[in-house]
Amino acid sequence: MSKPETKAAHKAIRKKATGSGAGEGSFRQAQAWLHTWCGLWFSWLLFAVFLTGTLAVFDEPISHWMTPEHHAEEEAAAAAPKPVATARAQRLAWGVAYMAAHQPEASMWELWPSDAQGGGELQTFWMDADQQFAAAQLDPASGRPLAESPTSQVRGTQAGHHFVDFHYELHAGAVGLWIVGIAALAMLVALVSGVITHKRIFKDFFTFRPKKGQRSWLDAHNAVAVLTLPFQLMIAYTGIVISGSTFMPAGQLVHYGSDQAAQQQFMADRSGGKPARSGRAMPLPDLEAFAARGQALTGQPVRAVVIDHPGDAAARIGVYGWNSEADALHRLSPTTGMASFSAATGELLQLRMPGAADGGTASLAQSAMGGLHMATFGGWAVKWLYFLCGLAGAAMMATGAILFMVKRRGKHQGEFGGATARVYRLIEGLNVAAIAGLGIACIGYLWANRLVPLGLTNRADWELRVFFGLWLLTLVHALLRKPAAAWREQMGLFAALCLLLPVLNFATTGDHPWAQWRRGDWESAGVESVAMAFGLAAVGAVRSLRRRARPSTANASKKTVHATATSAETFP
Amino acid sequence: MTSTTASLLALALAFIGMAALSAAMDRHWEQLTRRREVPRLQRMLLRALGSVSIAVAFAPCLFVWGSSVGTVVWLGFLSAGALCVALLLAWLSVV
Repeated sequence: MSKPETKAAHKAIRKKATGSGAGEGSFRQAQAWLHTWCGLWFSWLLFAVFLTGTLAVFDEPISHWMTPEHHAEEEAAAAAPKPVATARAQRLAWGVAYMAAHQPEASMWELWPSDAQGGGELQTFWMDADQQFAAAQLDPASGRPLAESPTSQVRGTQAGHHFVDFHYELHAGAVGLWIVGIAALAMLVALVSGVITHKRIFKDFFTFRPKKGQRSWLDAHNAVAVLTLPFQLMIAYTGIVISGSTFMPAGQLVHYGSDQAAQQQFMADRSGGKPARSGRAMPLPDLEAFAARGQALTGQPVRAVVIDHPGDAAARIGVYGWNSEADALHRLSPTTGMASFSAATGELLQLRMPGAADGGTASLAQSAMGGLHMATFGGWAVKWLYFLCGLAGAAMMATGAILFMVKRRGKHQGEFGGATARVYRLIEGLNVAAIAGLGIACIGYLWANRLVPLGLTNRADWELRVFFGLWLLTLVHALLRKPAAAWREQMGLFAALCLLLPVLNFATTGDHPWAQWRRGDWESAGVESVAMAFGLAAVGAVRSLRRRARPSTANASKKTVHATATSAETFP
Repeated sequence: MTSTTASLLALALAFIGMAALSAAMDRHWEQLTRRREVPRLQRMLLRALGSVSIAVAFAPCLFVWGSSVGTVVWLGFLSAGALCVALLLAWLSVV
């Protein structure tokens, strides 16, 4: 409750401050300058990071939609009577027998005996001679290796993982990670300077005045940013923290050195260290006893049993647990319980309780922040909230970039001297390609998944080529066409691709929304519904662009100067 | 309480809270009632209602998700509720 007296006092103070000197004003102006330029140069990249990152929230449903060959398989598995669950002891023994017969030299064996209920698949993993992760699946009823599922390789695709990978390293490995990291830092700068610049942050808290040209763009930019500010700060900050050891490697370099062995040692130490091989042979003891002890210590059913140096006297046995649904609902840190033992003596070497992290409080904080960024907790509600707030973040970048140009269409500000007009033209083009163009590339990627021929070698790469190729084409188009036309045409194409996605799916796989609904396939139905929602929103955008373009072209014959001013004011 | 019920409840309470807080502001009060200024008593009541329902929205979050995740979810629903209010007010100003 603000009393009128205090309000008046505040006003007086403010008047005094602005009256007695330009201190506050110039500070705000400096922040506005910082916000404008820091925001503009990073907005295109950040929009891409935010849009793909938002899609990455639902990478699993997208992957499901993109691998239709698995649908029948999953359905059959769900319908088939569950095979009698074989005991964990038996499953572990089969796993060990398989590994001993096929991978005796591997330095690490990893057995995944069953799901949390004791049924499900029996899988084994190991590190092969090239230090690559390899896997085999065994029949949980007989222990015999299963032939690789014939459908699994039909449609080579990165599926939803493309969006995950792109949003944090742009498919460019460490270089991409650094670029995105710097952009995230710029975003934090833009957020803080934006809050300082925003004079009416509380007065305009709920204000969005549509159909008012520049005013509307500013309102929209402010509203989406202010109303989701906690999320925007959190997601940028945790995004940087996740890769903290890459961005701030000093500590690691000083303690370990910079070569590859040092890097491996660092990784090993972070997960509790790796025992040295003793050179003395020792047969692997029965794993079930260790699994049972691990389960008792952590209180979680066994997910994996990991054996370092199998067959050696220094072998170590790690038992990892399954997080239950309740765990995932309540905990930010996504780690599971783990207990590791010496194979020779049975001594407990290390115990990590569920949700805790190896390596102390700092590690735990990082683990929680990682969970916070990736929305590994809280179930579907959290995923949808992240999706909504992520879209708001993308809208914040887009409206900011558009606002920059809308402000300058009426009057040149001459920031780039003689080149100003050309730079503005370039920014217009980049806006169209970065915003509408990326939308086309993303939905085009789903189209590529259905249209790229199945037999192609390195098919997954072709899907990515379509994604990047389309994006490049939209840039060329945006630079060749007039901005207003480019916006209209690209939004139109985006709308069409989104709205026709179910049609494409029906034409290529025969699947349709009714069938999805009948078999309870909410993931496929969800992907198509969200795509159609995007499509409808884009139709709305195209219609309002048309409406605004028409009067100005009608005026053009009479009053050319005035007409360019109006159209400049109104289209994005 | 399932997480769906809790979500709907938290969203509804956040929306009511944000709507009440917005109605306590002159600009939006005018949009809703065509009168220029919010009378003092109404402003106080609306602010009280807004603050209380925003606070109460934390209860279902705490109940289903626990304190740490619940806080995150609560903040998320506050954002969602506020966005709904902003959109609704914008729509009211157009029609």
